[in-house]
Amino acid sequence: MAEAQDDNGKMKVLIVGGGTAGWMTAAALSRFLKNRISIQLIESEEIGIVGVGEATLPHLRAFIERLGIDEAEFMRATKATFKLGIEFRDFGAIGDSYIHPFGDFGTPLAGVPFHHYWLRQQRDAVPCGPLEQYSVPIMMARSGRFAIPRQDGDALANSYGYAYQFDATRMAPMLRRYAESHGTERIEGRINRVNRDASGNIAAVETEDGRRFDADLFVDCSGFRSLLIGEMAHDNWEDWSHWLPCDRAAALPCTAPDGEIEPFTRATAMEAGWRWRIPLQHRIGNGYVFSSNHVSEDKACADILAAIEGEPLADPRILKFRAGRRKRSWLGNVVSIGLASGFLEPLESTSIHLAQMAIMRLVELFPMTHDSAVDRDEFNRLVDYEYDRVRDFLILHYHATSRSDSDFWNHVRTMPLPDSLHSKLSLWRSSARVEHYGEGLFLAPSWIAVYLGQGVMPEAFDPRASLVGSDRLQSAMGDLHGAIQQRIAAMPGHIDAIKSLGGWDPSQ
Amino acid sequence: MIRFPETVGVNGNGLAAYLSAIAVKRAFPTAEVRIFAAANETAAEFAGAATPFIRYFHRQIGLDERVFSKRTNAHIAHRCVWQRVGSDPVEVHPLSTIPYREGVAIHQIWCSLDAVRRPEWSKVARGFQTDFDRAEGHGTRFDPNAYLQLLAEMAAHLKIEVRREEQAEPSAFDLIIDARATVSDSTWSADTVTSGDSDHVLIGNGKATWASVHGAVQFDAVPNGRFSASPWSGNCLRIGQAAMAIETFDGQALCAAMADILRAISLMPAKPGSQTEIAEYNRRTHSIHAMLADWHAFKWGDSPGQGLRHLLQQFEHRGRIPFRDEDPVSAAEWANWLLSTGFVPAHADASVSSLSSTQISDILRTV
Repeated sequence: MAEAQDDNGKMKVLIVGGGTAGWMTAAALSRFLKNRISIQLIESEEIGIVGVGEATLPHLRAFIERLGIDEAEFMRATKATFKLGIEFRDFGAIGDSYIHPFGDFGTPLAGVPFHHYWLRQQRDAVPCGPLEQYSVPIMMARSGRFAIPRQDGDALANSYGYAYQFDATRMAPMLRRYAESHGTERIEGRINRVNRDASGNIAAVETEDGRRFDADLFVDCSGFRSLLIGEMAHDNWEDWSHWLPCDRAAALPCTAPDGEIEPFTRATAMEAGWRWRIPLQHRIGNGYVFSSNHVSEDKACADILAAIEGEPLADPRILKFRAGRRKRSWLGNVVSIGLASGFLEPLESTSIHLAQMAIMRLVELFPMTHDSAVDRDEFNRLVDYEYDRVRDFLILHYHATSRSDSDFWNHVRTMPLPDSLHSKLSLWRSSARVEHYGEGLFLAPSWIAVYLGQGVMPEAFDPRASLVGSDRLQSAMGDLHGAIQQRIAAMPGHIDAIKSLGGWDPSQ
Repeated sequence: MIRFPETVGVNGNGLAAYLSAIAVKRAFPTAEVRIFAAANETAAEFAGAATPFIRYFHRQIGLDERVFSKRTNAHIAHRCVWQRVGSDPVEVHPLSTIPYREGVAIHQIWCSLDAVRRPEWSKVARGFQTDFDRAEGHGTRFDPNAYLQLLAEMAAHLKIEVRREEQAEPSAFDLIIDARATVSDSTWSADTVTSGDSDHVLIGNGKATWASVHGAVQFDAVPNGRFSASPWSGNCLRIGQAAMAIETFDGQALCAAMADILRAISLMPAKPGSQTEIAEYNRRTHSIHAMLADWHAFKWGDSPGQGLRHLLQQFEHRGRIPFRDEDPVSAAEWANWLLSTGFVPAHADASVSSLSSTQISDILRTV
């Protein structure tokens, strides 16, 4: 790595791109490495941010918290609402609906996960209602209520997590204020040249007005344009479009209807993809993610305009992408984060999460010496791990369907699967077990939600679930459902919960 | 049709055999479970040691912890005195989680100091112990023969038949558990004991001695850590030493057997002949055993395999323990043992730079 220390002997970091990923990176580096590095961020006001990553996962809360940003302040600034999961409509079959919750289904009985007992009741035709009535977050979401999980030993009241739905165009400015107050220097400019040194590393970048900026480490947050990492190697992309064929999105906001705001994101399957609906305090975010091989951009725009509930606040904006990831997100002295690193469609709200994980990995593995191969290899190993696990989960949403009403759904239903997903499906189909991992983004409850929600019924279940007496099981399940209803009845409505926290500011 | 194993044969005469038989009988009460105790195996050849995981296991099989403690004269090992021949002994105090101060891991703060200013790591570890660390220590040390006797009584109560026969015939059972111990080069002595709250380990010249309050095991040759790639094959499930031979002087081997049998129960095929659950068991178990083999190699000073090389590389570079899914040895345990036994990273993590020297001094002054 080239030596480009600033006047104070600090390592110099240059972030290229000031969207959500860029300012998240600047905020984290300036918070956690402030005495060791100096940070500059180049962005151009002429280049808009993609800014459709409005739905998040619960992990974002830890990021906000570690930065020391007040939750209520964050919610006011970004017009955020709470999110308890994602409702999927028409995915397994037209007319189907299920919620992938941020939380568990029931509680284990005699050490056996709850869903096995539910499957037993299905087999025996014992009425016990849908699985979702044993999930606190789903029942909360369906009833439009919300409460922060309690840490008082009540297992049900702590059986879920929550995330936010927020206005992504307001997230970057908020983090910009934070990062600048922590020492990040913002530079207005458009990059038109990248200079590399003899070793192949990037030595400096030049802006259109002729200014030159050097650094020790460059962070590419330039989005799909990949201004830096794209220069480093040409054979550095692993393409997954054969599994995830959607390559466009038509996005637009619309006005919000009066009344309660749903504390969940909705994904509705369409003829050639799916559309999102993200309710914020002041508006609703919408978008149609589609395969351009199966529907034209004009038709997609017309379809999303016909589908939205409120008045459109803008014309549909077309975004182009390709599913996949960099083979190496960190190459030489360039680390790519966000869309420059890879893209997985926002079906499970993973875009910001993947950027967040990469940022925290970078903080954790920030190069200590000029030879950073050890850190670089480990960073790439961990980024690959995250992407690959998310990929399989997304593919499942498409493949696990009985839909045959369009070429798109016929394609994804019959396409060959990655071996890693094939083994997961086999295990589930055999006896309702979920491949186990100690850590990761989507653990057992997430997979169970999608498998059962999309009609992938296993042939059997854990044999131990047969050992509990019928009366005892029915009574235990009834008690559990009653206890969940009781807790939810005591919770405030979603808007009241936001107001109670001090996070309500729906002004435009 | 959903079915579970109706007949289970367990080969073996030691702790792993009885633990497996009892756990299976508890999970499937209507199953007929028989132990075939042909091997001339005695519990006392093995360390009477377990990690805190033993409490969880006992809850699963319904063994009251107070009964266990009383019958086996169980003690908590609050420290380990570890010595390599030719070197001074070091004390290792248990630390189940690495504490953070101002968002920075405490061991990184320690690493940021130059060698002269650093307090002894073992004192730092002791100073930052949690209530859990003080209560659970390195785990439980007990009389292995008394434990075996207790388990035998429990098995009899559960109507687990014990036969003095040769191995069970695999075709006669739905499931065969091979829990036989392998021949050991170790010798047991009840004469050598330590004070109540400590383990003492001496390693060198290809030999090792581990001593606790109940006695000592001496190894006349460095045992090679080994484990099976497919511990579950067909209707034969290998548990304990039949699946993995490691000795880490801390009860990891016994607790691995406990965790393995619980994992096997949780993945018991619901249909005869189903291989997918067995494949999942082997995937997870192989990975866990490989990580325990790393732990074994580290404790013995063996040449490291790929997993341990990667871990040591990361740690020596900047004091970081890489993420290892389902590693029975936590990142805090790895870091604590590495630092206690003299591994000092080349660099402290960059996150320390957010602290002033005054903050660092104040934090470490609390030790």
